[in-house]
Amino acid sequence: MNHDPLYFLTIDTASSMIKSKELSPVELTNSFLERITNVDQDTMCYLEVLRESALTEARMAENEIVSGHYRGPLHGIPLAHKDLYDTSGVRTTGQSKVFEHRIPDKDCTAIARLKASGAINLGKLAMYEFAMGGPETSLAPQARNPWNTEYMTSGSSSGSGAAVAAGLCMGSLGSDTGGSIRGPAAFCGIVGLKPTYGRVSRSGVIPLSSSLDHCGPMTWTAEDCAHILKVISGFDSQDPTSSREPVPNYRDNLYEDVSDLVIGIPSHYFYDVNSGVDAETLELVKKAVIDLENLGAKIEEVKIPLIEYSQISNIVMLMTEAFTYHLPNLRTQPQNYGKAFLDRVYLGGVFSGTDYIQASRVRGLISKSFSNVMNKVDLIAGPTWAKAPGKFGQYDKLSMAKTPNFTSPFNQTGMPAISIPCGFNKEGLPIGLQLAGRPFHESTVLRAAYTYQQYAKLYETRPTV
Amino acid sequence: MDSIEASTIHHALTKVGINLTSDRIDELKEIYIQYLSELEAMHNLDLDATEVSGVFKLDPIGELE
Repeated sequence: MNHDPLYFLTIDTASSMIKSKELSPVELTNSFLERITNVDQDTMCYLEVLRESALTEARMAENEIVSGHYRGPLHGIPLAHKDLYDTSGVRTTGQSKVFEHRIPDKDCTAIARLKASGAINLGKLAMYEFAMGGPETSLAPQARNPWNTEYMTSGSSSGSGAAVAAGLCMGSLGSDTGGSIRGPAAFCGIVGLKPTYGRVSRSGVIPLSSSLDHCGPMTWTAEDCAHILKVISGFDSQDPTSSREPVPNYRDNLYEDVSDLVIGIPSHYFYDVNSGVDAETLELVKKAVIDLENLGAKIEEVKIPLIEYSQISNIVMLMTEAFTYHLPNLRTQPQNYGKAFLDRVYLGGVFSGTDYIQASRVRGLISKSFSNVMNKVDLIAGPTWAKAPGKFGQYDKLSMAKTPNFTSPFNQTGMPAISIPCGFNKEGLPIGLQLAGRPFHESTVLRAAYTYQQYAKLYETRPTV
Repeated sequence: MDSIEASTIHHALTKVGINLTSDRIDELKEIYIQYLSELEAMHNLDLDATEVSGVFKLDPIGELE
């Protein structure tokens, strides 16, 4: 018998209860709507709560299940999504005044697939403006970290990270161009998966940088990530970068151990205190790697040539592509963008064609470096983020240049990468471990994450907000 | 590349129809300079032209598999 409040159930548990008719989707959805009413004035996760449509969807799910039409593990499960996923008839803003009145006439592919699976949409979640600005946006206040609301969540999928952690939805779609799923996952103590490039359609998702953008799930457990990934993955003719690689059932080998896995440790960059990584973060990550070794994985030191250039290469490409997308609105309505966003996006207009090509050449070389390494190991492990969350008001607009970025190499190579909680620092804030795998080997990444979570059991601790 | 002139930023942006005040250009210049040392290092990389064509592949995954 599970005694957690309904809003703290995992998707996997709730799903089993719904399937066996022990739990009503309406009851479950109401528990989240009540939780949002009670808590979200402190966490500021929701830009818009879709109360009426969520309850309508829940009633429909209940009727279908009662009459024997169970659609699968997400049927009747309340989710909520970053406000850059187009939702038919519902405002989708990118948390920017530029799109304040933008109402798409169709769902993006990922949301359409979730709807078809019977998932319920509780609403639209906060984010950094257009997935790149700082915490301050031109449209609405920013989501706050549920472990301590004085602290930031990281971005850009800020509302997704905070809402899952605070029990304001069971899972969420985030987007990741340089770490925007994995950063908030690490800071908010949840699981966030950036799948392989091409695995999940970006059609109908407001772009930041098309060659680096990835869509993926954010949940409380790796098992729940597997549930959502299975539904949203697969070829989509509307996204020219979509892959035809078959979609496996990500839970098929989730419960196997990790004794067949070799984990690569690139100590020259990810573990180098001289690169700027925080010592307390590093200590927790190293302990997690030892735990994985004790669980049966083989640990091997690896070297990834040129990795130190990945950060600037990512910045040049990301900002140049973002500048190109936003140029028409930058010309006509610059006053509707937030300053944090403008400080960055204008640089994209200053980088030269030579800069962009040089960055793409570096990207190619880094991909080759990883390709060589991934022939020898199954996973790369390291810290997700170099530092623990900072307080609101301490945000540094130059942080992208000052802090080493451990997530963007995997945007450049397109490899799948996950962040899972591996402990708490002295302030009681979560720290993330990042595991990256071979392209389209999300199953391996999820298996290692699941195995570690089952051992560490950090998922048993929820924020007290 | 060891510095950048405000006029370079002004020119790059006006060329595409964005006109900013000189104060704002100076502010952007300070931000840009923070990235310069890294950019410089990237440009000075000894890239092998026979290995790297410079033609960006949209999907680098194929190279990895």
